[in-house]
Amino acid sequence: MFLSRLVRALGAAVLAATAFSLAQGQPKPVDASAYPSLQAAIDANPGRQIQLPTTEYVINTALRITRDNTELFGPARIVQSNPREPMVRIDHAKSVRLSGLTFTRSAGNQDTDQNGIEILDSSDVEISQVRVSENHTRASIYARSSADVTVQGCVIVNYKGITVDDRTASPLYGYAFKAIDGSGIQFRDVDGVVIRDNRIQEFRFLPTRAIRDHYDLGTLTVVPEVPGQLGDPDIMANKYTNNWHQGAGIQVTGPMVSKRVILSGNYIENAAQGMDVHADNVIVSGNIISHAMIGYKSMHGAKNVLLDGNQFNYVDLWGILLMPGAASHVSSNAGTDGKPEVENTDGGHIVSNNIFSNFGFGEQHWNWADRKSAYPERNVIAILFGQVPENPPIRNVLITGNQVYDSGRDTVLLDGKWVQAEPRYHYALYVEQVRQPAPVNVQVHGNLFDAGFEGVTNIPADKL
Amino acid sequence: MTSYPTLQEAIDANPGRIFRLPSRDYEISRALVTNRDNTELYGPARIVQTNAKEPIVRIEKAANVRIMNLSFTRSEGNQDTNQPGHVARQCRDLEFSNLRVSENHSNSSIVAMSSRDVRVQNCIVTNYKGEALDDRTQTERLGYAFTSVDGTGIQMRDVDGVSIRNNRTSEYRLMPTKEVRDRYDLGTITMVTKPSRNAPKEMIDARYTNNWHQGSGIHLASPTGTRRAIVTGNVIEYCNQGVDVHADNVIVSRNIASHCLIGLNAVHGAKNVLMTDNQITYVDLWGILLRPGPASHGSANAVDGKPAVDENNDGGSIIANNIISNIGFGQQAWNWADRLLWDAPRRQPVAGKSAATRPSRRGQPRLRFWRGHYAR
Repeated sequence: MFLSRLVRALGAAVLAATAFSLAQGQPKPVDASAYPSLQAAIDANPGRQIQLPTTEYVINTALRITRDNTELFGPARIVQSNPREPMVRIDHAKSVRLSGLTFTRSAGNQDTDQNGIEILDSSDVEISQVRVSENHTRASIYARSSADVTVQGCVIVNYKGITVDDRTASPLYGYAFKAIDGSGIQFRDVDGVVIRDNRIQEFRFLPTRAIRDHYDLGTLTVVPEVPGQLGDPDIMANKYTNNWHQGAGIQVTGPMVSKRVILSGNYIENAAQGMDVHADNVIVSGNIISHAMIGYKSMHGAKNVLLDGNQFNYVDLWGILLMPGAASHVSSNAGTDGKPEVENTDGGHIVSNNIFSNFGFGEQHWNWADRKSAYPERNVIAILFGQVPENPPIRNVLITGNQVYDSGRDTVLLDGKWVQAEPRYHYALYVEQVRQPAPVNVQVHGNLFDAGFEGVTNIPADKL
Repeated sequence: MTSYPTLQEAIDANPGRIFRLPSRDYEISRALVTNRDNTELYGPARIVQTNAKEPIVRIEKAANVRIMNLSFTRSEGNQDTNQPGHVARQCRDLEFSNLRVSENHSNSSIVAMSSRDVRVQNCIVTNYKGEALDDRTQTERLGYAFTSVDGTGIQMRDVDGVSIRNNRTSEYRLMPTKEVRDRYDLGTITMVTKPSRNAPKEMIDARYTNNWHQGSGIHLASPTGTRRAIVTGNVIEYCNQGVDVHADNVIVSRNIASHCLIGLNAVHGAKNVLMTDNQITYVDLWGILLRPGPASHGSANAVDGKPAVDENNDGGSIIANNIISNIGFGQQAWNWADRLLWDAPRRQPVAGKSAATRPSRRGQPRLRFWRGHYAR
């Protein structure tokens, strides 16, 4: 009896609650077509859901979203006709969503020094099922000084352009050079990052010799009188650097701030660096990186990175590169400006269950083969020394269950012929043994490594 | 949409446009066809194909086409078909999202061929199998045909750049039970060209193979063309093979394959396949099977008028962190426990008659003949 009354009472309560919520209802989305412009629709409906119909909107200033809870969705195509403006700027806002939209730049206005979608000083932002194309240079999706930003299910195509990589302000370099640059997705100083299930492809600027020659890439445009610490004398002498392919499919930087990062299920093709991560507490899993100069790189104070279950295919310089960078440092109680400075060290990583194939058979091999560099280039997994002596060493790296596969053994197509080819990597695994600050405590277990042309690894047998 | 008499006329009159299909049933008797870039169909509508001889949607030589948030099915009496549900050929940058495809009995519910960058996500594919004749008579090493249950949920054939994620493929009709086998006379060898290595005399004499459950939940085929594939987060139940991979550079992760004959399969030149974090349960024959197949081969350069052949080797794979449970407690254990390949009552083949003209047991012409897995 008691139970049946209780059930009836609960049922009535549920019905009442349901009726209440139905009566209150969610407001219907705003129809953007009822306004003279998209910006007018956004400004007149702060914090509302705005549906964009199947229309092409041509804009010449960035769409600006500054109010919390604003959402733009729908099948519309937004065309930015002004190369001096981003496509969208989300600024100082919370809980903003963009979904299902297509963004591009109009013909003749695609070379830009602006980002595509820009997220500044915001939190809880979601970019889903969005397509961004033809934003040539900078980043197609960019977030800075924000928290909890998700980019998922997006397609980014043709994000690179020709630019000058100006390092004249850096005392480590001091020079500038012509380069291909641009990133698909770039996050800087973001805590709480989810970047998953995206496809990021470049079809225009492939790093071929013809492109290099056509755009005079690598030529120094500024040669310093006194080269910086990282200014290779050969570069100064030749007024040329072969490091002219810059940018990344995905970059997460700002290592003092960027943390709690998931990069999962992304497909990245024809990038300079597939993923470039300077952040802490990072999961990189289930991604395919195909045709890149570097598959994955972490440095400049990247800690606790879990690299698991990725495919690296047709990568030419390093499959995975882990090292301290110039920005890596220990903590200090009297740092810059006399204030305590938090540590920014590298290490505590796991590299597991990744497959590396066709190493050295990509489009940039020609640019790195036959170099007499003292630097340990062309190693599939590389754990290196710091960029400058002051860097703390990278420590505690576990390498387990990976496969480096000698694809040349099965024959590869070279100059129109199927031929067996020698490996194009020095070692499957290179861990710096001599140059300081050298890695500390690298553990290697249960990997299946085909030997490179110098062997499986440079680690002495008694240290394995 | 409402200003056009048919869906197809709306598509033809507005090439490269986006169409919202309202919440109603659209009956079609010809496949919806698009060959224009940037076409998009979405909405809550349900498309019902009434013609068993036509696909439901056909996309040809188009880029950036999206089909989203729609339901597709076949009408009663027209569900047994030798046609695919969605078929895309020579396309680039395709997306199938949040679709329901049901009652496309046999062939593939969603198939892409000779294409680039195809994404199938958050779709639900149900009841994709049908009775079929698995005709291997044209394959020298096999040389026989037999009655089978066949059909595939999602298939990629010669596709570079594949993303298949968060889908569910479920079969609820044709379970591999003894009762279903007997009802549909499955496994009966209907035609023999000659005994071969893979068709031993004993099996031919018995006129029966127990290998009558064919097809896959997800199939990546054409191993020299299909590569760079992510298959993740899918739930696959009641199929022959959960995920059947004939492709290179593949990630198969975080899928659940339940009640299958084979959980995950990589064969016929599958290289650099990464199988991690999958759950494979109630599988009766193999949980994970890796091997070279008849299609595996080394490369060869063009010589004496013969064209060059791509290399198509198997290996360089990783299997890690998978859980395989309840092996042998699925619905097909009876068919493989204590078996002989030819362990069945002797039945007589229909000598000298084309299998395709053989009437079904119910006296109706069979509609669902297509060349089997090995012959394609």
